[in-house]
Amino acid sequence: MGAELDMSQYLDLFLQEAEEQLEILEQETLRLETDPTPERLSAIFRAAHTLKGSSRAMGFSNFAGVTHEMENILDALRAGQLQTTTDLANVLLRGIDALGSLKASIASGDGDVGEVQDLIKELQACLSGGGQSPTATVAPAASKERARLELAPETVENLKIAATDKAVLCARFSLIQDCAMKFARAFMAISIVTDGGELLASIPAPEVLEEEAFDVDFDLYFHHPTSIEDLKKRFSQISEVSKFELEPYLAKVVTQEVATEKASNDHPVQADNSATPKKKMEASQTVRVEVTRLDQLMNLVGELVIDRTRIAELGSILSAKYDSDANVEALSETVTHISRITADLQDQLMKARMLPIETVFNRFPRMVRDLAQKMGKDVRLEVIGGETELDRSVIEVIGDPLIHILRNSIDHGLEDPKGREKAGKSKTGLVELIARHQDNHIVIEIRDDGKGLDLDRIKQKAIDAGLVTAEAATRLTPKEVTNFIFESGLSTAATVSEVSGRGVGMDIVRSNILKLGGLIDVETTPGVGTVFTLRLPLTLAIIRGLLVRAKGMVYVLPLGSVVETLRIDRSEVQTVRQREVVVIRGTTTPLVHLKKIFDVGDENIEETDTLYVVVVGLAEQRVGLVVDGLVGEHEVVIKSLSRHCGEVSGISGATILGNGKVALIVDVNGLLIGERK
Amino acid sequence: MSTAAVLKKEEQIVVFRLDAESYGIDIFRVNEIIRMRDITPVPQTEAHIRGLVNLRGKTIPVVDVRVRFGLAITEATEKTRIIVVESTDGLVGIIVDEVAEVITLEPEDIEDTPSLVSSVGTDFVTGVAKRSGRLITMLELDRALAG
Repeated sequence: MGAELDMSQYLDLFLQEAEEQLEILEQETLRLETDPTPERLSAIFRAAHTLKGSSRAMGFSNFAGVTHEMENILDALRAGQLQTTTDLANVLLRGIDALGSLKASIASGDGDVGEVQDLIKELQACLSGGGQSPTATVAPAASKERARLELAPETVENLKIAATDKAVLCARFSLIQDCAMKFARAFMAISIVTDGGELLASIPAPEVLEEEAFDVDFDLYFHHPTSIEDLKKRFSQISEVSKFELEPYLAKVVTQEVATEKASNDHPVQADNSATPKKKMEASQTVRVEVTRLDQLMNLVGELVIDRTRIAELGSILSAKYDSDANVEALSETVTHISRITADLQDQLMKARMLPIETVFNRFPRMVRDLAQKMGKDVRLEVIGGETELDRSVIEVIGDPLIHILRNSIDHGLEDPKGREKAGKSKTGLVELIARHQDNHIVIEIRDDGKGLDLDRIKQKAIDAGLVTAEAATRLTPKEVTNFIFESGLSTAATVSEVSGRGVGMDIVRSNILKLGGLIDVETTPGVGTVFTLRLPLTLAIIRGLLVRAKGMVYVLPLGSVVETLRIDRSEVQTVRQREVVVIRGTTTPLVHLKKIFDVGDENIEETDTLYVVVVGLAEQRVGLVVDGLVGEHEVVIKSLSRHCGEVSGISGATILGNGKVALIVDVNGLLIGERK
Repeated sequence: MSTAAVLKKEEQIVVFRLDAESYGIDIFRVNEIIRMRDITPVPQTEAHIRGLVNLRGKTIPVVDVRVRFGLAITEATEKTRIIVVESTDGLVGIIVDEVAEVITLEPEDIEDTPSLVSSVGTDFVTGVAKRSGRLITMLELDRALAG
């Protein structure tokens, strides 16, 4: 021990654990305010306790100091000596923040440094306000009745389940201080239990007992058919035991079939355990895998997908050539099989990379609470569909846009309590965050029940900013006016606040969403509220694309932005203000020749009278891309352009086709932006 | 770069040919050598970037050093090769007329860059090696590849 390598290994573990526990702390503390149940308090307490233990073990005294004080408060709360108030929650949250920044400085290698003395005093003040000294919570070592050693939450669950079968007993032993053979004594106790009974749990764990790595106390939880008196007699024969207690821990629980009243499957993980007694609790069947390893696997599968397509193409070439050859036939069969397996593999791996969107959403309750407090507004955040899963690649990038929209909703959308009362609404504003799957996409809605967007204001701003002439503005539809909020330099807040309102934001939000191949839409009803709808692909690694040809080169158009494809006669093309347009079902659609934008490839492709047009669009904007031909629809693996190529407007990446050639992926959004200018 | 200390000890170099001249690059920079294959041009890139090729499922850019060195563009032949090298921005392919050989150079084989000894601007050259009466221009790879 003591080698630096060892320490860093533990450090990683500590940081990982701290991250998880801090998240639990924050989430549960936020919920505690509105719903202070004993279970919740226990969960918070456990998290604080775990953090205290591990930070002490690592020698991070500041971290341990803060968690210790928090633990004291939580203990007082549990004991009913303190009441949960907003102020108390604020102090606890400040404590959590302080822990977060301590963790960050530990992670950055600066160690456990930070000013925590004030905070510790503040935490202590909370306690003394509650009329209890912090030290009183520590059980005095000399107490006659030793409390039960703390059980891990899983153990408690397991015991609960075990209690559905038979009553669970608990025996608490304290060995004499200078016990020479601690394990031997523990072993004797266990033997008595297992003789006719069944040991369910030991605290500490049997391995720890075996190594004698415990002080003098250990608890056993077990089933035993014999009477308590009889057992007591047997236990009393173990020597070197200074004291033992035997009592029923859980009486036999009468099993009852409980109809799944939880129709809404909002929190399947938190399903009430007593309602599902039959569910077997097994040791968690999961493995931690580094994200980079999953990414590497994904890359490999990507290559496999490419090769699969290549082999499939070669296979069909061969079978066209050697029609009735048995080997070729066998090849085709194998190819079909490989195709199926790679598809499954890809699917499974995609699933392995999926995370519930909760991982993003969990940050928001805190943010909303703080923001609402700062703005003097009452806000309730409802999160629905947090379990909806999507690929890590998307999870990583949607946080910021969502934060931005939420801030806007709270800052601009919701009225203050007075304004809401005047409008005949409840004082508390409601912001809903809803996620769900739709087709191969994830849809996220951010709804508020505020005052809605002020269309006249937006119109005026747009005119002021020169986005539209005053005369043209009168002809705009409400929808078109609404879309101005996505233009840069347009903020509708009457006053610029610290939170939002600098006129940068929604434009960046939109361009980021579009970059991901997603869509953003906004609907607003004056006085009723505003809904932002985001539609995002489930993954950024593989997309379905329409392959088109221009100047002998193949390009991939992401299928998500393709509206329709059609063939038109050259004579249908009209010219409006020196621009080619075509009228499709009454709508004038500007035409863009792909080969003119991408000026590479074979020059000698003859012009034909029939034009292939792929109508692409985002939101309301539509553009007809004129191509030389359509090749087909394919699943393609996205590869980034090398940095040697620099930023190429209109191209978002490259991919490898079934024939082994490289094709470029068209960035439809980039094209449309170019088109607007 | 100073031309005094191009090589401190003996070094293996890959010798390739552009037109009639020989060039050398450090063998440790060379990842592999592949045959000429289909190159997908990328719009709006600089002239020396010929495009992307498929290297076993990866897409890597291919640079035409002829453009970089101001030499006339030629058609690919049977001997044309792409030398895949490591660069700061990942793998890059370099199109050459022919890969000739791998040789070991001693420090004394290297001479200061005489002005105008090769057709390539001295910017891209770290020195010139003389081997059995033949001149091999040693390339400063990073500068030759940079945009």
